[in-house]
Formats: sequence, C-alpha cells, structure tokens
Amino acid sequence: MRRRGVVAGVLVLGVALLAGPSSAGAVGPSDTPAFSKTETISRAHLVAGVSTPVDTRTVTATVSQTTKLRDRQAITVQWSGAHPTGGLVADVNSSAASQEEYPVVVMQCRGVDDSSAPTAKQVSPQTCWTQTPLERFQADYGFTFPPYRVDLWARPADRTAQAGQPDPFPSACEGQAGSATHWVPFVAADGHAYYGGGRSGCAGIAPEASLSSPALQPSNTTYGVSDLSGNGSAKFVVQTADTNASLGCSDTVACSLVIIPIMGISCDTDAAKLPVEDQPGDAAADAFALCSKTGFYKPGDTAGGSVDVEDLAVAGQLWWSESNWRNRITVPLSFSQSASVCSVFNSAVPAYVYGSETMAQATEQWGPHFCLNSTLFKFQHVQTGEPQAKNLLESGSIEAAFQAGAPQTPFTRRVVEAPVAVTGFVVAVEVDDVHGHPAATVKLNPRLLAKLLSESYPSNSSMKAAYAALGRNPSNIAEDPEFQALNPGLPTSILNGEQAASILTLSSDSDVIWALTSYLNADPEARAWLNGTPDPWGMVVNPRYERIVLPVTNWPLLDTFIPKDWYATGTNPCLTGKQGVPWLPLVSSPVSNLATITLDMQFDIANPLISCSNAQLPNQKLVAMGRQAPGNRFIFGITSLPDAERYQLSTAALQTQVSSGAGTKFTDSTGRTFVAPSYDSLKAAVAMLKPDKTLNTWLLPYASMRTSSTGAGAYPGTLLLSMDVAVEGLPKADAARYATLLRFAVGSGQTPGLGNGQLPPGYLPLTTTNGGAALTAFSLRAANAVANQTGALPLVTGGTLAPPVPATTGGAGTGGNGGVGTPPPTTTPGPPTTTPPPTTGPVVAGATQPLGSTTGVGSGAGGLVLPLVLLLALVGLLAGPLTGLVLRVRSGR
Amino acid sequence: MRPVRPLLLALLAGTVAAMLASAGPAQAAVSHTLIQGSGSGWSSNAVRQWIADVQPSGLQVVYTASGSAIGRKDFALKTTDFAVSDIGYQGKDSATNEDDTSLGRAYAYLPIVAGGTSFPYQVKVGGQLVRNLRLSGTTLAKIFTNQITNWNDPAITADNNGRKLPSLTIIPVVHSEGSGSSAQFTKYLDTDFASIWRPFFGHSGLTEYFPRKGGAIAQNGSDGVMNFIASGAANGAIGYDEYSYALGKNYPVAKIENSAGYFTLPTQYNVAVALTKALINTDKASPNYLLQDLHQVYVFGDPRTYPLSSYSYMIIPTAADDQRMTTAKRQTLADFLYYSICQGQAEMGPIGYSPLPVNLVQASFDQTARLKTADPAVDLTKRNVTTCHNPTFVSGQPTRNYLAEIAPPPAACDKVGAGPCNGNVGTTNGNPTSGGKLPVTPTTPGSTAGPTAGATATPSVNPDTGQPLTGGDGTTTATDLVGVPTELAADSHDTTGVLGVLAVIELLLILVLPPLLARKFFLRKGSSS
Repeated sequence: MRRRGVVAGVLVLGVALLAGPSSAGAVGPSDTPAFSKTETISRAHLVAGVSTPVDTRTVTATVSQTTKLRDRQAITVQWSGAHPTGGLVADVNSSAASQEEYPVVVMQCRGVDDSSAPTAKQVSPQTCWTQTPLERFQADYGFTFPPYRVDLWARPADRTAQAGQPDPFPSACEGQAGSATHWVPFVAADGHAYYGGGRSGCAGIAPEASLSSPALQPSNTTYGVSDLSGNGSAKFVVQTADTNASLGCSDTVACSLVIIPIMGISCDTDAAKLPVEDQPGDAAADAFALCSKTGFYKPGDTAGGSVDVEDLAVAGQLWWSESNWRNRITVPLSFSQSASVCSVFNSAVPAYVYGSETMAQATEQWGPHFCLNSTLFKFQHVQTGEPQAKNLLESGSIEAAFQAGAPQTPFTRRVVEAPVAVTGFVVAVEVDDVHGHPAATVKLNPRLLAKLLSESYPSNSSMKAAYAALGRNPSNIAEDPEFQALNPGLPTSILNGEQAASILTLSSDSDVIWALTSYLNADPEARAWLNGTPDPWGMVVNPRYERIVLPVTNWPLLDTFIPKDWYATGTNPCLTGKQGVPWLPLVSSPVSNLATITLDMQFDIANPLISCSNAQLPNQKLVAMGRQAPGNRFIFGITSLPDAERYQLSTAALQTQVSSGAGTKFTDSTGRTFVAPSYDSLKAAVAMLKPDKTLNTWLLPYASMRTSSTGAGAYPGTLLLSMDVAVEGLPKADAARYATLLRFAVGSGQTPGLGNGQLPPGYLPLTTTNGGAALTAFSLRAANAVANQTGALPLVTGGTLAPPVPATTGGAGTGGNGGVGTPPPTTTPGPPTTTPPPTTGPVVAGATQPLGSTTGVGSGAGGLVLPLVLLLALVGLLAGPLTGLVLRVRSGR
Repeated sequence: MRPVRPLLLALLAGTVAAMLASAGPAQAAVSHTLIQGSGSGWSSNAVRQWIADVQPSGLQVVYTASGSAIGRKDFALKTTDFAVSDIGYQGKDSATNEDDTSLGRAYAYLPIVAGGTSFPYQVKVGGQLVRNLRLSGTTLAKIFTNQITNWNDPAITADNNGRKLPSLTIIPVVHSEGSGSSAQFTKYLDTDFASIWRPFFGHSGLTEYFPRKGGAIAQNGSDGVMNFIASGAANGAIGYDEYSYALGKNYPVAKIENSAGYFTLPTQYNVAVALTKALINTDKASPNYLLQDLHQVYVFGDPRTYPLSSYSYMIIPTAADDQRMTTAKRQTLADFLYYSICQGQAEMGPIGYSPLPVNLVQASFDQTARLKTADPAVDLTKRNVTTCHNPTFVSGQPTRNYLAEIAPPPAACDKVGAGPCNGNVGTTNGNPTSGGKLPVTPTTPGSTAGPTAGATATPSVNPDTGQPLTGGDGTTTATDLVGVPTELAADSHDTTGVLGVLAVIELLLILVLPPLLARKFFLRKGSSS
C-alpha cells in the first residue's frame, strides 16, 4: 500500500518551473557554473529476454558552486533534458513531493562516487540524506511484486520480499512490514544505521531527521520540477556537520550532491535469474502493468487531493531503486573549514561594535581572524538598527557602531565615521514567469517601489470594490501596466495575489530605509506620484501617503481604511466582527530585522498576516500566508546584497536614468536604464561618492546619479558602510583595539574570498582599482585618530579638526570633554572602590519565604555615595567649567 | 536557605587555573550540531543576538519566535530541542482550557535574561507624537480592561500632574498569539489590581491569551503589535511588549508609576533594581525550581524600580533517553546556554534588556549541568561565572548586583505631583562599563543620554518656533498637553537648523539640571536621617 502524504489542497500551479534564475551572482566568485555534466539515460524493459527501450533522454546538469562551501549556503542546480514532471506539490522539499512523477531528485550524500574508493567512503542511497523516514521506506500490503521488486537493475537482494529489513526486527515496527517491503537505512557518519520504518519512524531516525515535514527549517532534499521542455532548477541549501552531524560533511569528510532525473523503473518481470520466490510467476502480467506505467498525471499537472493515484514506477519515492539511482549525476562537493573556530570559552572581553545588519556576513568571516590570533582580541558585532546604534554612540552608551549611512545630523561628540565596506540593499524577487520559470530579470523603477511601499495596491477585488480611493488602481503589481511594460512575459494577473501588493520591508529604524527612500525621493516620477499626480495609466497614491516627506529611517504604515462590509461577510473569521483593524497594513506586515526577510525570501514565504489560524477558537490569530508554490511565486523583499549572495536570492535591476519618455506612458523599457547590483555597478557608485563637509563622510549624490554618465551605470542601492568611533574619551586599550580593527577592515579584510578574515561576496573590495583609495586612506587616518584619542578629528575634505581645548577633570586625567570612559575618580576601574550598601541580587529564597530583603539606598553615609557618584559622573561630562562644583559638593558632605 | 552561594564561592576559589586555560582559542573536538527551538517573542531579540554571536564558534541554532505558548507546546510534542517561555507550564491555560504540560518530557527551567514589559503608545497632539506619557498601575489596569477609554480621562490627567490630553479614544492593543508578555502583564494585573482585572477576565489568574473585548485590537506577534501601534489608524493606541521592540523603532513607551511614587522606564538599571525583589524558587525538588514570584517586585519601594520587570526562561530537556537529544545536541545546547547566560549578558542593556545577576547565572550554570547528568559525554569544563564580564557582577561578592547599586535615581520631575519631565529624561540605558574594563558611571537624568534621545528626537523644542518648551529643571512648561511632542519619522524634514539649536539647549540642560537635582536629593536625605 502506498500512502500519499497530505498534499496541500488544490494548488494553482502553472506548468512549473524553471530556467535560469538570475541570482546576484555577479558580485561573487560564482558567475559561471562550477560544474556541468551531460549524461544520456534511458528506461528499457526486459521483455522475453529482449531489451525494449521506452524512453531515452540526454540530461545536462550544472551547479553554481561546488567548492569552499559554507554551512547552510545555497547553491543553484539547473538541468535540461529531463522528463517533464507531473503531480506537482507546493513544497518541493517536503516528503509529499516525493510522490511527484518524474521529478529530478537532488540530495546531499556522504561519500564520493568513485568505485576505487573504500566502500565506506562511497556514496550510496544509504548515505543520502532525507528529512523524513517516509522517503526511504516502501511497503505494499496488497500486492507482492510492486515495481521496485521487478527493477531490472536492482541487485537480487533488493528484489526480495523484505529487502533491507533490520535485524533484529524492531518490535515497535510490528505491522509495518507489508507483503513487500523495502528499507533504505540512513547510515550516519558515526556508522549508526537509522532504519526509519515509514511514517512512524518505529526503527529510529537520526536526531536531525523528523517524522513529518516541514520541520522548523525546510529539508534540503529536493524533488525538483522539470517544465514541459525538461528544464528546471533548484536552490539547494548545503549542510555541513555543523548543521547535520549525522550526514557529517566537512572539510575532511567528502560529500557529493547527487542529482537523479527520475526516468521510471526498467522492468524485468521474468526475473529469470532470481530464486523462484522472487519471480512474479502468475503475477507477472499484473506486475508488468504496474511497473511499466508512465504517469497518472499529465506533465505540469498539480497533484490532487489525498488519494494515492500516482504511478509509483515513475515517482520520486523510488529514487533509491537501481533503475533511477544508476542514472545519477554525482557532483563532488568540498567545504570550507568549519567556522567552529572561535571558542565559546574565550573569556577575553570582546571589542563590541553595535549596529548594521548589512555588515553581518563580513563580520561573521572577520570574527575568526581575530579570535584565532593570540596577539589580537575578540571582536563582537551586536546587530541593531543603525539609528539605534547611532543614538547609543551619541549618548556614550557604546564605543563603536557600524553604520550604513550618515546620521541625519552630525554627532555632537567627536566621532569619526571611517568607511569599512561598500555593499548595497537589494530588492530580492522571487517571481515566476508565465511558464512558471523564475523570471530571468525583474526591473523596478522608483515609482513601482513607491507603489509597493505606500499601500496603494488594494491587494484583492474585495478591497478594490470597498476602498473608493484605490478603486481604480491595479490590485497588485502584476496587474500594473507600468510593471508589465518593464517586465514582459510575467503573469498579468495572479490568484490570491495579496503578496504581490506589497514588499516585505523593515519595521524598525534603519539606514537601509533611509537609502531606499532617498533613492525614491530623488526620482521626479516617483516624487510626483507620491505628491498626488496619478501615473500615466491613472494609478494614484494612497491618500494617506500623499506628500509624505522623504527620506525617512522608518517607513510608516499609514493606511486606515477598514472594509467593514467585507469583514462582515465572514470570509476571514479572524476579522469578522472585529473593529478597527485596517487591511492593508496587515498585507504589508514589515518585520524588525533583515535576517527574517532574507529567510522569508530564501524559502518563498509570503509574509502578509492575513491567513486565519484556529479560526473559531479563543486563540485564533492572523498568520502569514506562508510558502508560495514554485511556478506561482510573486514576492518582493528588501534585504542586503551579501545576504542575497549567500542565499542565492534573485535581485531586481533598479532604474538609474530616464533618457526619454519621462512622465508619459511607456510600453517597454526603451529610454530607461536599469542596473543590477554587481562589482561594476557598485564601483560606478563609489566613483560618485561626494565628501560632505557637514557630516564629515561621503554621501551618494542621488540627484546627479540620475543625470551623469557615470550615474547611468551606478547601482542606486549602494551603501557605504562605516565604523564610527569616538576620537576622544575612550580608554586607551579600547581605542587601540578599534584602531586595529579599522586597519584590518580596510587592509587584509578587503581580500575577497570565503575564508576567515576575508571579504565575502556582496561587498565591493575597497581597492584602488575599485576607487576605494580615498576611503581607505581616510580610514587609516581615522584609525590613527582613534588610537591617539586626542580629540583631533580627520576631515574627509582634507586636514584635521584640531583637538578641542583641553579640559581638566576632577583628576581622572583621561581628558576629553564628555566622551565615554571619562570615569570620575570614585569609579575607577574594577568594582567600585567605594562601598555602597550591599544591594542583594534577586532574593534567593525558599519557595515561599522571602529572605535577605534589601536595605535599599537608604541609610547612613553609604547612602550618600550614590548621589555623589552620579554627580561626579556629571562632572566628568562637563569637565573644566564645573570643577568647582565638585569641591563644593565634597565640602558639603 | 541559600544553596547557591557556597557553591559559587567554591567555584570562584578554584577556577583561576581554568580561567587562564580558557583564554585560548578552540579546544578539543567537541562535536556540535544544529539545535532548534521556539517560543517567546518577548526575549527573541536577545536570543537572536546570541545566535548570531555563537555562529563563528560553530554553534548552529535556529529559533522561531512563535510565542511562549507555542514554544512550550512544541517542546512538549518533542518537535524542538529547547523552548523559551516567559512563564512555566501552567497545567491548564485558564482561557483556552487547553492542556499545558510537557506531556511527560522531562525538563528544567533556567532564566536567560531580564527585561521590562513596556507600554508603547501612539498619542498625537497637533500631529505630533507625545513622548512623555506617565501612567499609574491603576490607570493602566483600567485602560486595558476598557474602563478608561479616552486619553482625556481625569485619571490620566492626574497621572500627568494635571496636563490634560485632548479627547481621543484609547485603543488597547493586545497580543493574539499565546504570549508571555500577556502572561506577565496579566499576572501584574491579577496581583495588584485584582478588583479591576478579575471582573473583566471572569476569574482570577494570569493568561497568555489576553481577552480582547470592546474597542481593543488583537495583533499577532511582537512585530504585529508594534506595527499596529505605530500605524496610521492607531492614533490613541497603547500596547505592551518587551522594551527592545520600542527601542528598535525609537518609539515612545509610557513611564509607569512605582510604589515610591516615581514614573520610570524599563531601563536595564530600573529592571535590575526591581528584580532584586524577585522571589526565586530555590527548591530543587520543585517542578518550578528557579521560576519567579514577582509580587514583591510590583510593589518594591525603591524609587528606581520599574514595576513590570521579569525574567524569561529557557526550557531544556533533561532525560537521558530523550529521543530528540544526542551528545552533540546537548553539547551545542550547553555551549549556547553557557555563552548566552555568561558573556551574552553584557550586550543586553543597550538593546533593551537587563543582564542576569550573578546568583541566577550560577543557578543557570547548575541547571545546564543536568545535560551532563543525562549524558556524561557532554563536556562542561571551563565554565566560570567570573569570566562572564556581566555588568551586574562585583568580583567576589555574588549577592551584590552592581547595576542595581549604581542605578541612577529618577529625576525629580518624574515624581507624582511634579513634572512631567520631557521625553528623554530617565532613558539612560548604556552599560556602566566600557568594553568591560572601566566602569563609567551612567549619565545622570536630564542628560541627552539614552537610546530614545537620538538625533531625530527633539523633545525640548517647539517644532514651530525652535524655542524650548522646558524649564531649566527639565520640567515641561507647556500647559495644554502632557507631551512634548516630537515629529514622526515620516514627517521629518531637514531640521539641521533646529537640531543645532537643540544641541545648545540640551547642553544648557546638562549644565543647569544637576545642581538642582543634587540639591533636592541632599535635602531629602538630610530630612530623613
């Protein structure tokens, strides 16, 4: 009996999938496929001793990157020439997807495909990872000779009734075996064999496996879909032993990517050479009928319902059967040294740098460079929004911050903004064209981005009917003639298209939003539209956003329209009878960090919080729409270029200039220039950076980028990342470390690569060739100023702002005028030398009995210390002019 | 009865060698592997940071902030390796009546971080966001039980020392998911405002599913709640969540009155002071070992207390035969926890949490040891609280909490019957130590310090005139509204000129305020002794 997993309802899949997705590969080392191989494979039955060919295909597979792989990195696998796939399901990584007909199965296996290697180091179905035990177990309760028992190429042992059965047979599995059963244990790196045993996992599963999918993270085993022409692609997330110890791939344990284009079982129902009990005999005709089936579904059809109807002989479930396994294309993979290099037990005090998430990929590689070098120190990047870090730095709460743009007003403290990297924000797009393939390129102009951000697409027909102000607007971007003109070949309407009415962006304060909205604000078409001028097709801005002042660090959700009548219809029980919740902000549903957006885009998760969960229960709630079906995806998100590189996200090309037809209707992209993020387009943007005297940093001139010849090729999402550090008031030792960090960042830290201490893809190396000389030279001056802590501030326009008039403090002697680390005398290093009354920690007491209650800041001379300390701190801040106050206070005591 | 302390002292005495040894990079081959957990949104900003921190150490951790209730359920169903929850298993949820147990999976609780449940709000006056709202506990209780429904309510006016807000309907915003922040808030209501809370709820006790009634709005998750409060439709809204969410958005939160009659914010200092009154269950035999009883926190009389302070917990599997766990997973969990509760505490203050005090760090270490009890192959050497650089620590004195000791007193204008202060007073939240070496006394109230006092915050200037709205003591002088509004981010233009003026004014405040404050403080001391 074959069991069909729950296949999600009726999916509206077009003929799915996929030809070349355009990833942001231009900014990394993986522009051309690292691996390409062509194999001719066939299915041929053995009938009365004669080989009878049924199907022969020539399949080519390419893989974007096969060496120096990092844990959980995505690589792109593409193929052509495969049998078109039928019986499609939404989630190609689910165990249900194994029931597709003619999928291309992509899996990660331990070992190499080399018959000269020791057996233990060779790939086999037993070393290939599947998330669920269901994907490696077959049991048939009604018929004794299912297709895998009459597989022409299978070893005799695999054609027995109970092939691969564990010995001893686990008692928990009583009743699991059928009249024919086939087990493929998973053999872990430590040699342990997990037999699984179907849905129940009765014979044990690896700790990383799960009984059902999806687990919290989708599996990487992929039942890839080939389109009607036999083409397809998949983004495959490789796992090292860090994530999957049972699979155990590492820089020392070789692994492979195994690509199995399912052709169907080559049948041999005579089984002439087998023992008599393994010959179908009277059942041969029935066995052949089952084994020779060619598919229940037409290619491109969606799997229906929960009934087992697919033809097992051509289903992905039998990937391990020799007829399929022998057709594999094996891709050797090698891995970077594990990042497990910094000890968690390193008790050194780290040099903390707070701030920009766009630095995260770089600091993840830079960190080990520091922790591994005993002459250096530990370096810790605490990720916060840039404006939050700026505020903390301004107030002296932290010592250093990564920024992705200048503060809107200069720091009031003496802080140098030293460039450390150039990258960009990207508009990640997961959009499938009319054929169900990932769109090769998607072009966006500022006005389209403004439309997505400003809650101006009504998102569905109910809203369109209810919301008069937006009643004439397209429901979503797919229906927008402006988008269609720039992006021919994409669907012009999509069912359940709310996810295409907005773009997933940040809810927290961010320099990324500042850069994005600066770009929109500089564009006359976008600005005019935001000011209320309809676009040439008649679409208007949501009136709540009309004349919005840009740029901003936080994109506001301003729509207030509540479609009461529609809510009353009960379509969405979570909204029925509820008052006060406008619809469009739920469609926007921004999130508080870029990592979440990256994850959602990686797994095609549409974030609008509009699905009603636990509908009639007290704990009902609106949840995200969830994963989009391949072939039918249409989602956008703002994230960073390094994230897009690491996770192989496709990115939009952004409009830089309009040479003709501005402000009028257009039917194609003629007269408009679009630029994708690449080394070249980042380099062009760097060439345009302008030193700004007031903010003492470089700014992108968004206005002139629209007109100058260099600007045409400059990526408008470019971000100049800086490390901001005070040049006075820091403790010397801390200052020295930040100076070292800066010198590293603009020195060897700019070496591109995937190793420790190198600059990962997605950042433009700041070399002289790339126009980074002025930036790095300034950062080196900045490093000196940070190390010296004299208050002298290097200026981007040349020269140095002299140190402020030296201030005298109450004796701390570190100088400065209010920076951090100007401790008043009573709080010099270490624990307080004064003895404030002991304030206890949480009262550790018996469950009911409070003990040791605090005396508080109450009594005696000790009580005076606190206010004194505070005052003295203040004095530290105010320095010279108020020195007298200290004396007065002291005498007062 | 303090079983923790002797243990700790012994540990402190015996570990100098270990400290030295542990300074070097990666040691022996301890095998790690991916661990997955789910739960609290309240503490997820902290957990997310720790996950990023340990990645270079080869620890792979996946965390989904689906809410404490789901977190405990996932753990019980053995679909996760750990849970994060703001409360323990409740037996049954009083609202949904669903079972809330671990379904037999053996577990231990351990505190991972402290923080304050804050009350972000959107009240605009003349198109400007009010940033200095103050609320008493009673008013808060009445707002969330729909008894006070308009911002011009006399109770709110009284909380704000007579400054009246215009007529504007209050929109209480509650979590729709089973949320630890709902549990923390309703526990506070049930404990201190039973006569208001219980008739509304229908019975006594806390709930993770806040009953949405009347004009209240329910939103899913911390992002959902914050998104709604800050949205265009939400003028008049007030919700609740951990302080870090409001900080990340630079959004105002209400100052809440404590028992000393001061209105305070959930800074790491005020939270640390408050939690010195947390009663921790120290009965190791109890299923609730280490869980918190906060009733004394709510009413602590120290003026530096933030009343709605609490700890968040991790739930870890302790059975030797736990089917999800392997040596590698336990090792990863142990090392992740070690980092989180040790070094990971130092970075918590600036992002909106408050570090654990040393005795709880030690207690959590002890709980982590149960992973080794379950599996002797787990390596737990080199764990030492003295290496944590935790800003609450005073070397050799494990019962002291340095943060609580040096917590600045509230400004005089934050007292009942005084003020209100302008929007950035009392927001100090930086670490007392810079780089873990030199303690820097926190800047005093009235300075420009603090995360909400950024370049975009213009709290003391009339945006139209550029003139100060405040008196020299930080007290607002405007008579017609509570707030000293600042511009919405969306409305901001180039305000370089205005901000320049502001900087000067803020400097003046720094100069003028402290002597005044000091005088008040000393006078009070003098009269009480």
